[in-house]
Amino acid sequence: MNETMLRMAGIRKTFPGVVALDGVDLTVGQGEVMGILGENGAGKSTLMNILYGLYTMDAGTIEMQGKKVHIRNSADAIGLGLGMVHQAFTLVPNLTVMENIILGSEPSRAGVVDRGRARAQVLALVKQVGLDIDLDTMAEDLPTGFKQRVEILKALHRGAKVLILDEPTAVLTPIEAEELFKSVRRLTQGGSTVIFITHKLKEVMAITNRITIMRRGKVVTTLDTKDANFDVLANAMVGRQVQRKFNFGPYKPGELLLQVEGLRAASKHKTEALDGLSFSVNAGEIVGVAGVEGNGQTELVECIMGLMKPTGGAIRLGTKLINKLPTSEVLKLSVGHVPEDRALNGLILDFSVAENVVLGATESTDFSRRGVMAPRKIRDFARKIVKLFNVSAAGIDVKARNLSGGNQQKIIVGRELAGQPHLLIAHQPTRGLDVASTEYIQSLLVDSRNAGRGVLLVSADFDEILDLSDRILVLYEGKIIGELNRGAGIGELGRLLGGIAAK
Amino acid sequence: MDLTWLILLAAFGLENAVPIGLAAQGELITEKSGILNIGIYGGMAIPAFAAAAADLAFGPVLGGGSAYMGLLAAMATGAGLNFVFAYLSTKIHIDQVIAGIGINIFAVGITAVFLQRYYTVDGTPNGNTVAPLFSITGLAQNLRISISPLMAAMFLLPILVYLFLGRTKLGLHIRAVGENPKAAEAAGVDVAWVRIAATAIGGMLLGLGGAYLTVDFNPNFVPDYAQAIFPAFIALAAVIAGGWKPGYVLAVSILFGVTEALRPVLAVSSAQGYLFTTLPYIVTVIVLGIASKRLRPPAALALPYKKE
Repeated sequence: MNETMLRMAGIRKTFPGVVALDGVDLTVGQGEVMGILGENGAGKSTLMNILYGLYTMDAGTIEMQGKKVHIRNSADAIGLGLGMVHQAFTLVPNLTVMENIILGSEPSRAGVVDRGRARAQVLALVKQVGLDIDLDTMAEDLPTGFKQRVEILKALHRGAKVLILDEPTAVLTPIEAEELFKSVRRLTQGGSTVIFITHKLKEVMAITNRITIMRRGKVVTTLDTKDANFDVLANAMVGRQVQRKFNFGPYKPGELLLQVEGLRAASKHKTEALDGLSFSVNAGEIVGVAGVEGNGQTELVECIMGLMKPTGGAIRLGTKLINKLPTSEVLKLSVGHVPEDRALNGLILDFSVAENVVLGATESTDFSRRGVMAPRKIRDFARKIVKLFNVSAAGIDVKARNLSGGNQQKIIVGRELAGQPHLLIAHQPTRGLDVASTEYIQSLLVDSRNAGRGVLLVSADFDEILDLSDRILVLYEGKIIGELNRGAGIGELGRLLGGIAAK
Repeated sequence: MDLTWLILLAAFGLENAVPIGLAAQGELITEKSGILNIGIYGGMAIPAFAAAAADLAFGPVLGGGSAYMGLLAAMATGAGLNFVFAYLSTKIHIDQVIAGIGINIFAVGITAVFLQRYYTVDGTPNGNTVAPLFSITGLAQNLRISISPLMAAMFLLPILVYLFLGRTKLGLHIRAVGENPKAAEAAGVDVAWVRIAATAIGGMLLGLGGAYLTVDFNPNFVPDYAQAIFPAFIALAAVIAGGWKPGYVLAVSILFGVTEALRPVLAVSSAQGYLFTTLPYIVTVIVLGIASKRLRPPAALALPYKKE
């Protein structure tokens, strides 16, 4: 390692109920590319947000070039020569590339922007980094890869010496990623330091000098890239907590419930989100879809649920083709859906528990007649769900907003399971829940499977996937790059998650 | 063919357009920063009153020049009022729509109170009016068309607003906070203060538009200043129909002004007159209907921004 540029020591950060970072140490040398590797929730982004002044740490120290610094906000961080390129870009869509780059640090005279000087400054930067771009294009018209270039140039224009790239290739095509790597190399040759956050093993091997691996808020190890290989990294990244025990009945897959063939879909960025994937779910099994977030999970579930139109392929429930069915029709085919974001798509937070319990079921003649709701039946049903699924709420008239995440999720899962669907699609069913609620919800999924229903479990929590799934499909960049059976090793899962297909 | 009516239509139409055009440019600057000022009527009516009052107060000292004191007073009042409005919505986080409606109602009340206290209830006495830059005669018999400095300002303003938004630092910051306040904040721009500045600058122009009604077009202020209601809310519509582009906004303001002039110019009989009175509103709805499909408002318009 070269001379130390940055040292973070004993960094601790807690959010309500969660320890996000627990005594993290990180040392970055001047002019190197430091990789930070870890799965979702490992604490990579939290650590960088602390460094960039977006979060305040509970404990720990930060030193830059040997001097202790206090970073209270991003202005402090920028002043110290830190620059960050976030996963979600922070460009102003209707400003030009140049305006975006100079925003906040405009060369100006008497309040009037000195466009000539600004252009000269930016062009010099463009040349220096080799990131070619048309300065007069509107930011909103740029392809994603170019938006990232603008972000990098913006950071450099403010004099960034340490550039933090947070999952920079998540939104890039392979060619764009290759170009990014080239400019990262040019930057470090020019003396800049780069911190490269990723979960992709290939990338971290290709671009970094050293790698720090994080898991569950702690640093597992730091090593030189030349001493690393895929197996070492995969094992360190995934790790394993105590295995939970559930009452699994014998694995006897029954009739075919869901069949997906050659499914394709476009993402919001108009790139290929699903790239021709095929799989099936039978009665009596839990099929886990594992993958780091953003590899097509959301699009997969939305396509099945009729929330998004596939651009190709076929989705069948039993033998019925459902590609073009609206969500309401899909739900009628005995499908239950626990959506990814319970606050956004699962519940109406300002509605009462009772109202949320019958959400989507009000067409049923049990709950309404000729458009008039039947309050007593609804309330009876709500009380039943609350009791059956151990929801702890002060009553069924409490707003869903005032329930804990675990109890909110119990309402959703309870509501969906009450209809005894043949197929349950559970997307991140336990994200952000406490241990007890997590285990309870997971046991409900296992019970459904034992009762002969099919469960498609989409989750970025790899323990959950390993504990519950009869079969594991690993999703990577819109494709299923591997399938594992129960009992597969974590190393194998780790490799697949990092995009390294089976040997 | 007698073209008198056409000339009259143009002359009256442009006169009608002045308060709309001035206010619309002000509202445009404000909206570009992401603030939707529904209180635009209050922002014109109160300065209109202030203009008449200042005009009367300075009349004995300055003579005809007192009208200009009216303009200054109106701009100051407009800026001050909008400053308060913007402060409430950005710093105290009061809903923009609610604060705006509050200002409109406040305007009706406060001007009535002052009229009763200091002037007759029927309105202020006639004051001086702004002297025309020049007059045109001979286009039609006995017709004398006066071009007011404020009308000239209406034509000049879009260019200034365009340059202000496009070329100055503050203008760049205004566009940034109206489109993606989070990004602007990350770039070190103080979102709240930029919005307050944009709204106060807009208020100056609203005030100028209001003053036109009381120290130029008319020499006095009458209670329940209904005369400001039409230009105020039409200005709001003109900003939308003009697609938040200064030049288009001017064009739409003139279109609305001309539409308003149709009835008096064509001297339509009273029965059909009512229909013609509704014409500006119908045109507004149609223009908005056509325009709204292709429009792209500032992305953060009317959305409050709270620092995390």
